[in-house]
Amino acid sequence: MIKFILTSCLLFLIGISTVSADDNQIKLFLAEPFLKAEFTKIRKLKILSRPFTTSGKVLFLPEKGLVWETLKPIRDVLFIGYDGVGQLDKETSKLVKIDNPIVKSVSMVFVTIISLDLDKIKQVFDINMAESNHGKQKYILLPKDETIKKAIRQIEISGKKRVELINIIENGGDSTLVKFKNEKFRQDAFNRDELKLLEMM
Amino acid sequence: MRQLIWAGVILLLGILLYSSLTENSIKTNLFALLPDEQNKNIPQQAVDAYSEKLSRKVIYLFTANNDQSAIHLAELNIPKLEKSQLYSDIKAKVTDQELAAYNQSFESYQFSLLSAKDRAGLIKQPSSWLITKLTKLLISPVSGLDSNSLSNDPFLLYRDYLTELPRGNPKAQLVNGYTLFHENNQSHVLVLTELANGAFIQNIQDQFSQLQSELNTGGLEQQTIKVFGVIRYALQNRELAEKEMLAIGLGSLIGIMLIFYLVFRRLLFLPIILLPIAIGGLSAFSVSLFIFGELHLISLVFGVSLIGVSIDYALHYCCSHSNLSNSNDNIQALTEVRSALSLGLVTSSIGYLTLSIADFPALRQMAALAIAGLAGAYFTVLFWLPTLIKKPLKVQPVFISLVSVWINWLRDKKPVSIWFVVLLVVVLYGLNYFSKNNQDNVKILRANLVELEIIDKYVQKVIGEFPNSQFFVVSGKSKHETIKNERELVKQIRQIDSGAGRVYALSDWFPDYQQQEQNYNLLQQNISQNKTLGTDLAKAGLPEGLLDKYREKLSGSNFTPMNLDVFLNSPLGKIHKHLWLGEVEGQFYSIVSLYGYKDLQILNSIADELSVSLIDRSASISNLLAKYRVTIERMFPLVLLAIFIILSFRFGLHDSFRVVSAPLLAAMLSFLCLNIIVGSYNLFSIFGLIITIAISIDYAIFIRESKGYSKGTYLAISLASITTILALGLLSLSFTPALSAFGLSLLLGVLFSLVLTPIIVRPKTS
Repeated sequence: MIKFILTSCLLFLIGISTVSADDNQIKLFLAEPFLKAEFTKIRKLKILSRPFTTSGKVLFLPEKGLVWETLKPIRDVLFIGYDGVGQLDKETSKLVKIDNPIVKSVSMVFVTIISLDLDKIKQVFDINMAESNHGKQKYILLPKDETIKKAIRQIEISGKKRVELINIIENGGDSTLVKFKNEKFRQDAFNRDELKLLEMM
Repeated sequence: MRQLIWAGVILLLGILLYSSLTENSIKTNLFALLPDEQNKNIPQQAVDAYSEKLSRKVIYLFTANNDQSAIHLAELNIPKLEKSQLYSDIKAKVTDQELAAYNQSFESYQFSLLSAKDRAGLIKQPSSWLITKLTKLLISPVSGLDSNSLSNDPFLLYRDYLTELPRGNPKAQLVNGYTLFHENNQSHVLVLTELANGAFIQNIQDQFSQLQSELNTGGLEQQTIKVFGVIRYALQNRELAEKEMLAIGLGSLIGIMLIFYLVFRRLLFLPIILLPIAIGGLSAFSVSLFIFGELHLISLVFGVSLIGVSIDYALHYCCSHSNLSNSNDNIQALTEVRSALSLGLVTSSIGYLTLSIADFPALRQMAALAIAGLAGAYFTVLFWLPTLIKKPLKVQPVFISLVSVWINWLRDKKPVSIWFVVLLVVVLYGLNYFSKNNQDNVKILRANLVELEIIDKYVQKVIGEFPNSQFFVVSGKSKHETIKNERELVKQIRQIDSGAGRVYALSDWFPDYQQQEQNYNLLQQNISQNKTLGTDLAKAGLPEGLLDKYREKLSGSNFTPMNLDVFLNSPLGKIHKHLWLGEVEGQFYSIVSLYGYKDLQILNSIADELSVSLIDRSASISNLLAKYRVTIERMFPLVLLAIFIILSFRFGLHDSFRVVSAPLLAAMLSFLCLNIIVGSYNLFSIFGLIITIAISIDYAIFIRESKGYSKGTYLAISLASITTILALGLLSLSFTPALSAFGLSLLLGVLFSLVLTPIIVRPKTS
């Protein structure tokens, strides 16, 4: 049942002619995952006439996962770990686990991509290199797993020296575009509040 | 004439055995050894059917280094499982069609079904819950919300209800339709099967064994196939029992033949000596099969050990009809031992009969086997041996010398004072009372199969949980009441500790009627009748028309609650149908099964508190073992008293006490050794002691009945002891603790009897 629900609830699309990516090339591209960045997420749903845009910041700890803090249009904090998802309860300021297998499955894919961990990515996706445009590298990730394949058509990751943009294209015609800017790569990038959030994971 | 009549009887026994023996005459199911549980509060037949279903489950775990290889390994072998026709059901891969059908099970009732979180949210914050939820779903990068769901289920209310349903094993993952587990950096594909027939049926076990040898691991070391299920234990126990039966049977036969050859040096005479054993065996199996229709393998192993006992009668005749005896011919030789043989048969039978008083099918089988077997041997000796062995036998001088030394030693010794015997009995009783340590665990009925236990632990580690053998049976006067009672039970079990285990119950799949009605009303109020919802959506940046389709569907719907019948007839419900036992005599029954619960005390207290039945067959068996052990222990003095009274008519009170006290002391010493050396005893040790009494009382009777210190009698007793020790001593090496305990207590008992009986009991004309 979970598979069915996952299939019907997960989403995404695209299709470009590509060649298999060379490991060394992509290793350089993924070499430096950020620890903190600002994001803009544009969710395009076929059913909506205009995209739903949110923005905020993302904090990443390679061993735990990421804190996805949306600031606009409303503040919402999600803890997306390798073993599950949690949400910051506004009233108690405590982490509340989201015990939902679909959310968990989607988060596994999402955190795998954001982690920029080549080994983990390669377990789930075949990586192909697309033609570079204006000095930007672009890779196409094609899901290996049949279940993910039914929901996600492909994922594009692109950027000049490092990953700046992730575009998740679903089979149903919807997509999610995430742009990163102001990436920070050092541990001292976190302020006290951010450290507090990371500690909660 | 008597010889011919006996030949006719044997022929009849042969025909009886031939007609009674079928492919399924031999049972290996441990539960068949036990009496029917008497619990009038539950439908025994339905519960047995459920237990039978559980025992037919076989789990295959295909392991490889990664998901693809594990799936490939499974796909390589699943056709073999299918081809074997051993299984009535093989659950390997869930197809998209099946998943879609499962999903549709609830679709018609979606407006009556809400997750706990949505329900609470709609009650607590009716004005803002839906908009806040939708906004958060759109914000989240991992919510799984897409155009399709936004159109059909915009607030993901139905999806969230579905995801809240019982999910089965939390460690399981669905990969390409297969159930996968990840453990030790390996991938494991789980395939669930159900045997087409009982796990204890011999040809099913043979087919299973054949299938096991055909499974292919792909020739790679890191790829393994592990199998879990009752059938493995049934098969291995059977193979072990067969091996033991062969070893014990052959071992004792070879030993007996060797002893006879050494003592009498007559090679051609050996087949004649084996005749009482063979006819005893024929009589034992034909009569027992005729009475019971089937025999348990454990009874059969016990029956084989009777070889060592049934040879005794032939031995007494042979020694009486030898150069050690004063008898002139075969008839006189038989006359000399007939009364002792008859008395021995009667007293032994009384001992064996005590076994059948306990309502254990296997014990009754053992008693029938023993009595019929001994009677067969007895009549063969009486009717045939004098004809077949006419010439007196010649005992080798070395044995005559040994017996003479023993007899001379006995002659020189004064008979032990009867008061000393009484004192010994009292002291040994005291020692036994303080040292005894009973062990009534059901495990004594099963061989220690370490290899299988390791596999079980491995499978348990991979799967992360194991089904409990215990389960609850809930009842009610109606379906509604049964499900209501089940909900209360499930609630109580879950209050124990969330990590203690997992409950699997029908009532988890749909809320009660009142709650569904409230859910429906909540949706109508908050979506259909909520005029401001569209404006709120627009404020959140969403098109007002987003809800139109959903609203229209909801407004046009009627309240249709999901109930037990609807659920059971749905594609998803059909998978769980076995949990509903239905109506039996005006009561409705359901089963609540458990995974991973260890604290049975708490489960029992919940069962008591809610007046539901916790079925724990292992515990019931252990309790029954304890119950019958205590009963037989209490019967022990009565058995001795009965034998004492019978014997006192012939020997008088004084000598009768001596005759009875010798086996009693032997049994008590054996019991003391068991508790000191082994550390514990069980019901089967007690059986061993009863047989000890039955066998060694023969020795005492023969000594008491012999004229003077007859070398023939003492040689016969010595040889009888040695042959019994040979047969039953081998039984003590059995891998099945029950048989081992039985053999060991008998072995020790007979040894002590051989030493003590001649000292305590003296011939009548010494």
